Amino acid sequence: MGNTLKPAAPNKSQYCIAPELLKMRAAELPGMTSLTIRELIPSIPKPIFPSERGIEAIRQATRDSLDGVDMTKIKPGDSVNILASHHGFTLYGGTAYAEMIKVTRDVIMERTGSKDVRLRAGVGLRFRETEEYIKKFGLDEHFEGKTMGMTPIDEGFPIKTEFGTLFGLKRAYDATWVIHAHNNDLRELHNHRMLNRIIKPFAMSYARMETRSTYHQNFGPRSSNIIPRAIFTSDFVQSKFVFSVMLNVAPSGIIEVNANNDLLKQDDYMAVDTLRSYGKLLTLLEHIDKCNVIVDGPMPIGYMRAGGIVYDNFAGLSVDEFDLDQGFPPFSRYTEMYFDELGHRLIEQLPPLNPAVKWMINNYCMSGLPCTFFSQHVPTVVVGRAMANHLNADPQNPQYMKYAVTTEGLQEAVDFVTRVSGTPNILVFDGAANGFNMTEPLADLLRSKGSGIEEKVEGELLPKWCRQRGLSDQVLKDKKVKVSRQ
Amino acid sequence: MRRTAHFHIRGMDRCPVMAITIEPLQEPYTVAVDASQFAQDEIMRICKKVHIHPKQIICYCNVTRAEEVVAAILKGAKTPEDISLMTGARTGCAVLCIQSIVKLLEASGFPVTLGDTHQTYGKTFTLWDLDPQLKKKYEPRGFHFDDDIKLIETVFKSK
Repeated sequence: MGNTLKPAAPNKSQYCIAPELLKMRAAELPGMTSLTIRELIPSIPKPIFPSERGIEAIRQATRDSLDGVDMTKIKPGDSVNILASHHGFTLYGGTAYAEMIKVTRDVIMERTGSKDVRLRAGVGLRFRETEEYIKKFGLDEHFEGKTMGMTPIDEGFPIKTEFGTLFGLKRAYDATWVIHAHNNDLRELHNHRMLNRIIKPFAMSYARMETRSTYHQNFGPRSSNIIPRAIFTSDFVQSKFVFSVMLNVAPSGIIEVNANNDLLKQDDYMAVDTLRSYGKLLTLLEHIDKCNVIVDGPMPIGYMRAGGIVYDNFAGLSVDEFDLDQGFPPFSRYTEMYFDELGHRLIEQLPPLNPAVKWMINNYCMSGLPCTFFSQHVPTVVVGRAMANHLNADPQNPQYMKYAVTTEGLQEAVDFVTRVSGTPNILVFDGAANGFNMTEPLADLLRSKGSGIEEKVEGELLPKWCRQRGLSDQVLKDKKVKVSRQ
Repeated sequence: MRRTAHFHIRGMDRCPVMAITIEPLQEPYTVAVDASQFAQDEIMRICKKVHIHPKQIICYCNVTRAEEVVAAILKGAKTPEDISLMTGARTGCAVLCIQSIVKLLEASGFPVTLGDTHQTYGKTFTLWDLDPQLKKKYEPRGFHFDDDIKLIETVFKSK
């Protein structure tokens, strides 16, 4: 892997094929190269992690950030739940998120005298995933056994919000106080639409299936993220909440740890960073007119990462998903539900998936997330019998393989899709940090399209996106000063 | 839509002592209710009450549509568990489709509350239930409540 970035290591997990069954990584293919994020967009901040300082940078940044937080509510005899989500453990290998959580626990104990600080970590639809991470990152030892995974089918309770009743998980709130440990990684832009993005786990990781279901089926593409806000601002949650601690994430890596007693203000502050940095990257990637994609990492297809974005973000590039004048995104559960048996749209306004993507090669992915929509809508090759069998045995994807073909090896799949698509461009989603692995012709294309992105986002798109969200000019101005110092 | 049930699932993914395993069946079996055998205007009437189009996918895992869920109710299903057994819906992730199933049951005269036979807490509010004052409060922060309603309801104009 001479000129390529290191892909995320295969995971030993019940949601993946055994690591030894993964014969070849996309980064090992002949003709592959890489581009780093800052080669593409130099103004995107340099990360504190990954960096030459290693995990110490996160440790120090967490302590520094927590210095500014008021913890006086927490008394020595009180219990505290640090609420976490599986997603953080998929960022840059997961060690940064785990370290932020460990340091937060230590600082709470040092400053408040509380001896009962627990970790309660939620999941999406892979119910054992967080328990796997708790073991992998030694969190159980660090918390002296006071850790627990939570799933949406665990015991719940009603939470009265200003809109009506929703259901939270008992385990999340079974302490005197709660701390929200999360990040502002862009990830499901198609769901949250950058409307209170960092509050989302209150309706997902810390909530029952009834709450999660109404989010995905009974609201709409620009309104569903009101649900986490409703839960967070409820009297019950406000009576428990002390502070939040966040990894501030850019496509280049983690740029800051940010802790705050006011989650709503923190959301405004971090939203500008997210809109700015991811906005520039996605605006550049819109210039790719034709390519094939390889998914090749230990994440579900839509959440497969590279260059700081997930595949869903790239699949959504037929529209500007930041733009709230745009109703349906090209992929979301609200889009997926409106196709009939023949694949015809039930609603005319549904935009297509990114038409640049001609074929998808699925070399390695996690199961445990409904992904049939992708094989139905993008010609798909699955590499190897083990991967095909794994997907076929996934209760959340019993029909995925009906729409896919298989090859024996990755090279055969690449040869096939290159020939039938007529393009040598390949973009790899393999969990590589700080950039993308891709073929040379695609790298050349992206290098040639960089000019003008900065001006377009700073001068036109970012002010529009902020205005649409009621983010004041002052917030934007403050952030501009901050970013330019880095 | 015909589908094949390969395994029984989520219990093994949550059992705290890993006592439940998945065993592949020798012969896959198919579960489905044929919606075309039931009055289409009745299916539409029930679906429309809860702003769901009959052709709308309810269960993303098994690609089960609302018309089939309603057909199962017309055939005798009274609980979310009955729906799962008859259609396969909610036997994958078990999470994302529960509210639509609950709402279709309620619209058919079978309200769902937490009881002894199942573990569903019941319905929550939807986009159509929001207080207009609260909508006004949050719209300046980018939420598009009424626009989303309009957008979604265009589905009933589809041919």
